[in-house]
Amino acid sequence: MAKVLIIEDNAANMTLATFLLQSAGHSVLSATSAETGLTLARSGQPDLVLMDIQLPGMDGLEATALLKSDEATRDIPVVALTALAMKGDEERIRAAGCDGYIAKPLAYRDFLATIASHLIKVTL
Amino acid sequence: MIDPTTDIADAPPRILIVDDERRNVELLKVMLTPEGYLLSTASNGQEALGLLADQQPDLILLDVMMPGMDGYAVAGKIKENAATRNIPVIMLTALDDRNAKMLGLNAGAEDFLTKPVDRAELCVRVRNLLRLKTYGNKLRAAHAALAVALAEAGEARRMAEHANNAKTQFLRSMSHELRTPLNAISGYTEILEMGIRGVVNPAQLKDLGRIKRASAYLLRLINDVLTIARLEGARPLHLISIAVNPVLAEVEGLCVLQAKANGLTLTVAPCEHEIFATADAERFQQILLNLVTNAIKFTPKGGTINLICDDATGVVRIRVNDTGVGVRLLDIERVFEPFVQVDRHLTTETQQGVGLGLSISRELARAMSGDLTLESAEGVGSTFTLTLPIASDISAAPSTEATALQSEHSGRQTAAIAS
Repeated sequence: MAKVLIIEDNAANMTLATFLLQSAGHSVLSATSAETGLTLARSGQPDLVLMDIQLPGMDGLEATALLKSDEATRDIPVVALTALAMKGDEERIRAAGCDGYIAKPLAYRDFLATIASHLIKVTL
Repeated sequence: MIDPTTDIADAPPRILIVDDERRNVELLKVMLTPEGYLLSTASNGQEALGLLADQQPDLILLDVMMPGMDGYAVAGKIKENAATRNIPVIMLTALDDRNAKMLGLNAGAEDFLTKPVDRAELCVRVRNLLRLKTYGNKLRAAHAALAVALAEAGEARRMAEHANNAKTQFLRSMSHELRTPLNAISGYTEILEMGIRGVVNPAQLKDLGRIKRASAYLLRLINDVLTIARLEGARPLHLISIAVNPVLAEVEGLCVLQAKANGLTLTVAPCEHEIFATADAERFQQILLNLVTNAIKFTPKGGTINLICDDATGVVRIRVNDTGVGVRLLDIERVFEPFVQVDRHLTTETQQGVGLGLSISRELARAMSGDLTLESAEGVGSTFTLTLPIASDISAAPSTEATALQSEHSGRQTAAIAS
């Protein structure tokens, strides 16, 4: 299965996403800030990045832009997992370079289906 | 005769007489005193300008021929100065020729009198100019007040915009902060429910169901609040020609089980002949679902809910009638206000809502050029009537873009509106 990097500052939500991904057979790398996440993305080369948007310090939009401008990480799909779920948020997040968007609160099946669809795109 | 004090300030008007000949000054005083003016005098231009700096008259009678500074020069000085510019000046000249009049006009004088001065003419001209000055004063005061009001309105608008931005920002962060823990609550509930952490006994499963419903309710609440705050922005309405009967059947299908579970009978009386309404398909269904689920909520066991369709001139009418608790006459308009839930004897927690469904429904109906009204009698039941324009040309199916608030994320409309 795939290797997923989760960048998320909320501990409970990090544990939840980790658990859901592991239960689907994926392995998980985790970072609680965008800065750490960028380093891990370069060194760990995950198959997908799950990105919280509101983060302490650098936010997820900026981090995504950096991932997408770096030769070493630009092909890794970035899926936003965020509580920013108001009108316009999704458009803004996609415009920043995110390939996918999942609004919190997440629903188990939708969540795994979205992850799977982005992993398939990479393998194809 | 017109009373000289009409349209003039309460205090008697002040008139300054400027003339070097004492005899002329006395003559003018005699003529003007009976009119009730306050008179002051100056015997040359310098003295007159000095007096103006001290106290301003409402009008100046100015002799042209004076030793030193002549009348034209004095008038020029008066009209140059912004502080005295608005005082009307009448020039007095012995020379009844065109040249003198032109010089005086060019210097800025408002009017002329030729010596020897005729009393009646003097009084009329003075009175007229005083009246004009009063109008001018009023106009200037109104203009100044208007400028102040405009500045205040601009400031108020800036403050309102600022407050509105602050509100948007506040709700935006509230939404984010509330969703974050909600994600954990519903996510872990799902995990437990699936039995991943171990076998769940039936009582625990029931409890988990309660947690799930409560968090779904909370999410709906957040979304409803954002909707009413218009934060989700305007989603264009897609107005098309829609056959009404199939929509009624669809709503019946979606609600019949819920009605049955509550011990209620749901009947549908479709339109006698096929009618097409001009509406946004999704919004149309959303309003009806809201009305029917509301009726289910407020109708005691054994009651009936009827969905009745007919047409009046130019409109299709869909009535949702129930045998529920009803609404007091006083509260009939209030039920459409946001965040209002009139006391309808709610008995269980599932009947609670944030009180936005009807408010949103009416707004949507009006955005589609229709309306939503209520007739009700307490203890007898309620009838909500949704009217929508009849589509004039069913084959063309015109598509018009209009705007309405978007009530929910796509795919969750019915859940949000049911509260």
